[in-house]
Amino acid sequence: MIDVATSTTPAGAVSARRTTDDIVIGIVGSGGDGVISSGELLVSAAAAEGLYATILKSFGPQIRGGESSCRVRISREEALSYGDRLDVLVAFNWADFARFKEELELAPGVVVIYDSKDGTPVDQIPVDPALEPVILQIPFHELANEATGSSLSKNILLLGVLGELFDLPTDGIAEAVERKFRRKSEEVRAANSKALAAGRAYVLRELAEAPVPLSFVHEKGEPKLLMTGNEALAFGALKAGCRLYAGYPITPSSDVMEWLANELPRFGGTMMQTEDEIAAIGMCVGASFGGTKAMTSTAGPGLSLMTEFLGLASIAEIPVVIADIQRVGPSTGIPTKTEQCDFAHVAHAGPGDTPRVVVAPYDVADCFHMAVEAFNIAEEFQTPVIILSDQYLGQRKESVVPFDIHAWPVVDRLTFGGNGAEPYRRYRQGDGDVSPMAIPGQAGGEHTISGLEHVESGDPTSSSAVHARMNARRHAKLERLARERGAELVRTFGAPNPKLGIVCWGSTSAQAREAARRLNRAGHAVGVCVPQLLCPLPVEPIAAFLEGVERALWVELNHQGQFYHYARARLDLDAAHGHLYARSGGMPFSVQEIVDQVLALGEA
Amino acid sequence: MATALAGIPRAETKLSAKDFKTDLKPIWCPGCGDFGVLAALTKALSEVQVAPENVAVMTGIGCAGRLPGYVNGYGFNALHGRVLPLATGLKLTRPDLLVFAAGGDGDGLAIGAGHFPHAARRNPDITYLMFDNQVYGLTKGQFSPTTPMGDVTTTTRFGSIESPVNPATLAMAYGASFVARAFSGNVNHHAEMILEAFRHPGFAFIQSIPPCVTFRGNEQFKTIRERARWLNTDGNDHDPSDWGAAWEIANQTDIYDMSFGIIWRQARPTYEERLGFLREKAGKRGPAELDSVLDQFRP
Repeated sequence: MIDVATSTTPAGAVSARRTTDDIVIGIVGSGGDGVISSGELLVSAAAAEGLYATILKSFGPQIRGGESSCRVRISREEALSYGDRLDVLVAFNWADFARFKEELELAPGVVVIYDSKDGTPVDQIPVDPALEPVILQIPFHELANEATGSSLSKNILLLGVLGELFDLPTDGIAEAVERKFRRKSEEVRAANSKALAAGRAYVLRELAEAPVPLSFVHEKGEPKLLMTGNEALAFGALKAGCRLYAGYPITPSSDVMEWLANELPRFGGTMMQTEDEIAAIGMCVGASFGGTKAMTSTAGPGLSLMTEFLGLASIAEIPVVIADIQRVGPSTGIPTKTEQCDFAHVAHAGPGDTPRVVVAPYDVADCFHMAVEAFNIAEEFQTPVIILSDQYLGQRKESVVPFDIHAWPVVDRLTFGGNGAEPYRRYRQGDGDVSPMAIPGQAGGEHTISGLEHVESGDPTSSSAVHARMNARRHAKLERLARERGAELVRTFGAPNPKLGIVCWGSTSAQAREAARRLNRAGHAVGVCVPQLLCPLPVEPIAAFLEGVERALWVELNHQGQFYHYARARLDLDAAHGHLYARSGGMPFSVQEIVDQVLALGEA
Repeated sequence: MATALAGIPRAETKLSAKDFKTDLKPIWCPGCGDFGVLAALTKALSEVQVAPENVAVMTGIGCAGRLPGYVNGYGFNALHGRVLPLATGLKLTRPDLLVFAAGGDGDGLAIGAGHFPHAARRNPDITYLMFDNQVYGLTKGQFSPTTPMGDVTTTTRFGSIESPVNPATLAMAYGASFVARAFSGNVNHHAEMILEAFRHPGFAFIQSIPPCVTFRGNEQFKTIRERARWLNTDGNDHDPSDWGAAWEIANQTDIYDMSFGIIWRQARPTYEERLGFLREKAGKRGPAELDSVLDQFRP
């Protein structure tokens, strides 16, 4: 939403400035330039101001140092996606920009700010002149040195510049800086204030005559929370009652483990960093056998190793939660980039008729909710539950409207209450699809479970008739879950009576929802159907959505269209409702990309 | 230092070894050495006087894997090679249980070898008994990581060309705080070893030799019985806190030239104890309240 307004500059000159309530700023630099920290501070200021904000970080493959970039989107309306194109590009040097060029698309009229120290003449910078960029060279190094005696403060100085240039909440930025450095020395804090002031003063002094043609308008609102998807997921697990987390470090899931390593112990819980992913899920199954809610998280390569325990938890009917923060695969793939490529594995992994449940959160806040839900389902249905998140969802930090963490009910498993004279039978026929679990320590509930097919008591059997009955019991749970919870675990967004439908899952929902928002404003009636429950597939609510639209597009970030083909096998899809747009990951979808696909669908 | 068994509720009535046996008939071959281990385990359990509901017997896969079904208590016959993660996960969330983990030599030293060092160094208060019969019995006679070089098995028709590993020296090198060796042909001594393992606070490893009469010949029982040396009896004095002496005994690999008894014992804080210290430290972050956790997400 950009419109042209006439504004008066401090110097009294009149110029045309576009106002916007939605701005995307990209910052690129080398290790030590502090670009990530600048981005984090902008987002923190915006959230405190009650604005919506999101930050997506990107790093070179170096362990430390090397190039890094972040893109920050600040908006008055819910910032659903990372924002396709940059309205503002800050480059501390152009060599670093070159490495991220593929990821940082620039908008027409982009304001390009770069450090004079880089030395590249204005007419030689790698920005397409056809975009008619507004280019500013600012002597960040010199200004920072002058103001604070060190060029290290240039990332803070940058915030002063950005605030003043684009009418961002400058007080909010100052407060965010003060908050972040509140435990640092008086000296450091004073230097930050000076750097911020110097940045603002530079703009007022040097650019008053020719203000940049972009102004951000907003008003103060209720402060938002700020969290990453991985933090939200870990917090949800804690809320759900998880008291053992076991895991093995792996990108992009390690933040879940690190967060719980800090938080679990004071709740009497344990974070165990194991020797491998097999041990990680093994400890969870062992703990859950003892009545403790347990979770592990991993990414594709670790998930491969967990498959044998997934089968054990399924046949032994042990609740356990596995979070898969997907990254580009197969194998090691691209560890730091996102892809929705593990669906086929989690939907089918394991020899035998292995039941499992798969849920997928659709935004950062939903990572909290789905973590609670995953535990609730695991406990109620005594089966493993996989949460499918991904790098884009797990590692982006996003503003979240404060929510009541106590409003979410927590479900505990059905436990054995004594049978009187009758001996305890772990898998008693007649209990339906789940039986009360006797937990070690409960007298009268002693029994043995195993990965072997078993009779009602848990004792092993080779009977094919019993095997068929037990398979049916284990799969009846899934049918019941889809029947009882399917409707509430399929979300719809967008126009109330859509003509065109988008079906997607997980992190792609963000861009799909924003695409629908954009299309609906342009007069198209577009709706988005987002199943949070993927396995078992809630067939009825998805079919109902499809029936209401004339055409439907399935969108997912993997080469094969993994979920689409899984759903096709379960839904009666005609050609009009079976359009697929799937592509390999690395870069998440842009909103425009989905808009274009939907428009093409409309013309089909 | 905590004493092992201190936090585990005891049975109110006197229980016998028989009370710890279930009615399930073992699938083991007639004359199998595993029967002796089962007898020793149930005897040790009855001597501890722990109530069956507070016993968890966990195993991997193999002949030994069937053990939980035959012991009165909670049992979990899990995956091949994965008993140690499972048992650790249970013990550190349920310190009030007596956790007994077991598996064969293939289970613990081939497929599950990656878990052994980590369980040993972490030192959770569990007992890990390895049924070291030097062969894969359940799959009918293939060579295992402890099969002596040159031995003929179904997969080494011309004699094994691999050097075997030694479970006892591995356990010591990995940092197990208790290492003992037992022979299933001497149930009383074997039961005593299990009892000592229960009493030891920390990771207690027992290398048990239960002869496989089907695939390793029926001479083993007799020959071991004739030649076995029993530590700290008949003048075989041994100080289990003496690393050098312990290593020398652990280093014996010929089952016909072996010492049985407590080889190595070391007092060291258990994982659960260290976890207690960690929780105390972590408690300084703030109260265990979700609302205070939420505060960290406020900008």
